[in-house]
Amino acid sequence: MKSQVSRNLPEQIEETLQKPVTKIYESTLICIYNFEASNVAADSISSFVYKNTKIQIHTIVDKSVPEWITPSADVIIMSYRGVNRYIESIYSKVKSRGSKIHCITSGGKLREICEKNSDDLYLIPENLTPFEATGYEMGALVNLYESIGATSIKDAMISILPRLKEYRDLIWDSEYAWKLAMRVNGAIPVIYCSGELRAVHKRWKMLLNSIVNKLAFSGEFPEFDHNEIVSWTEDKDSREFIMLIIKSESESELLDKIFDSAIKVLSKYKLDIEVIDIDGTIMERSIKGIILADAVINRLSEVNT
Amino acid sequence: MTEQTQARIRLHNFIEDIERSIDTPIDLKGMEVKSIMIGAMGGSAISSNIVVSCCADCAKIPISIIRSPVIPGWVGPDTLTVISTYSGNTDETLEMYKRAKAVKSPIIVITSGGKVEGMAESDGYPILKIPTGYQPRYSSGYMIGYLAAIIAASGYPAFSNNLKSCLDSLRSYRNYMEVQGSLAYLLADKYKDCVPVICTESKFKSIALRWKSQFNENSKTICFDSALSELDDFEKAPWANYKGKKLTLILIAGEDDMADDSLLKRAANNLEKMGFPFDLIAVGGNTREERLFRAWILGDYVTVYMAEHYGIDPEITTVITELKKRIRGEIRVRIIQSASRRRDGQIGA
Repeated sequence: MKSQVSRNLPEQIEETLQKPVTKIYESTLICIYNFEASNVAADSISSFVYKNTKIQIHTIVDKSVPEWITPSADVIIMSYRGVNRYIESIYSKVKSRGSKIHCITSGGKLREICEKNSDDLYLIPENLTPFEATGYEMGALVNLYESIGATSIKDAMISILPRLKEYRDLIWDSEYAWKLAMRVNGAIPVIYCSGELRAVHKRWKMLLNSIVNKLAFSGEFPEFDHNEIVSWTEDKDSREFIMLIIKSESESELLDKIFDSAIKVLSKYKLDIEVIDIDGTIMERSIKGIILADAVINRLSEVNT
Repeated sequence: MTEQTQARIRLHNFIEDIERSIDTPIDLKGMEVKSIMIGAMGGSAISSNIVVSCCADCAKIPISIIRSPVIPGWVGPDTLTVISTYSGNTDETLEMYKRAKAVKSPIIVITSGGKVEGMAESDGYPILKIPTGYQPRYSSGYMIGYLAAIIAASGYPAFSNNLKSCLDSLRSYRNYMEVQGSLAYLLADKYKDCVPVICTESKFKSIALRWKSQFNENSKTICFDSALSELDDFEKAPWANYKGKKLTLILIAGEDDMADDSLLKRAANNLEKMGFPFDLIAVGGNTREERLFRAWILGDYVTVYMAEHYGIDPEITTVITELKKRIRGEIRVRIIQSASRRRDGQIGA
């Protein structure tokens, strides 16, 4: 079984960031359409913009084009292969609304229509699997956000690259990655993390589904405390699953306490729980969580070969 | 099935609760709303999801639901913030209130009371009151009705009008769900002792969330949600490989999503080819609102009937109460510790 993930995610980001960025204007409203594995790059990078800028970002993963997409909105269409079934319909609707369109892709229909209409195009290398291209997608999105008003995102990314490489070197062939691989191999994994780390639980789930052909589910804190926790503590079927709780210190003391309290409460029940700690700034936490998922799946694909 | 629970009485009043709240006059004092942020958790947030889903085609401003104490950087004086918390004491929502106030965003509060009511009174923000005595998730009729009124006051009355025009039809549907042998009874019987996985298109995401949370809380059943696009892109092989018996895949959609070239039909055909069993619930109705709200009502009744079958009270969620106490207790501990360390000179002046 080929792992389909790349050890070089930080280097891919670094390589892409070396491209010069021309500042275009200050955007205030961005709608980002992202499909399949591109979802992960979009969510991880957007988490920085969400927290640190006044730009409003909305993520859409289907073909709907809300009424508020008007000439004042910037629309980003992001798909590694550029062949998603919705692309043409979204493109033509958005174009008819007069919004500015930016595309991130390696080719396919998306590249074709973007080049034909002279839209803003960020090309990333071809002939990779969508999971292998995540670092390039992240770098391209950082460049794009920087050019439309999310100033400081590029510097923020450059500043965390050494720590991302260090984390990758530490984790990639580690006993810890091996241990986690063995843990998720035995039961159905359910991955939980905070909403700001949405990209992380999506990455874990996608990789488990696509590479290991294993069912996996996911959820988010603090929402977990308001409903899901009830069934985890009362339903005997909880034994079918392993909970991976990805925990990190956030910008909210309350959120940190919610994690700690929930883990303490859950530990009183007969549940199979693995708590994973991740540290760093918001974008750093997100990308480290993705690197960890990639390392674990890489080990798991070795087991299943 | 055992005797009728209090929860079932609350469900019955869902339509009437919408009617009681949807025409509430809202004075925005001339504010030109550029965007709306709804800060809510749990049942309050899910009630917001169905409203936002219905407004996608009629509101010319973005409406966002935030489920985190940390609000986005774009919230400011042009953003109308709606703080929706049934108890008025939800920690995350109270923090959202404080952060929205700090950036001078105008606020409207939907609540039955609690701390947030006192804060809003003191700050002079409008309060839309929900009667006390409900479990938060059964007060969704009020939350939906009030949100419809707020969005209408912001200049977008289409959702409110569309919802009002299908309330009679929804009432009939609700009455049918209460008849022995209805679809809700059949599904409650079918889904007992399984782990449901609710899969929908994005426009039905609110329904997946509602069904999931109602399975979790009403019938104390583990349940997961998934997106049809993910099922199509990533999950077909895992489902084909799944040899267990517990997980039950349930696709929920509107009848209008059943066209031959639709994503739903394609996903269903693929699953059939693989020989994997699944349920497809196609909900009828003349409008998006009618289909979504029928699906909402159906899920509520299914999960309450399941609870009644198990002989458990759908309203009781002991662990949530315990967790809330623990969170508040720990926060107090940390504040006391910080204060004592400050006294001891361990923290800079």
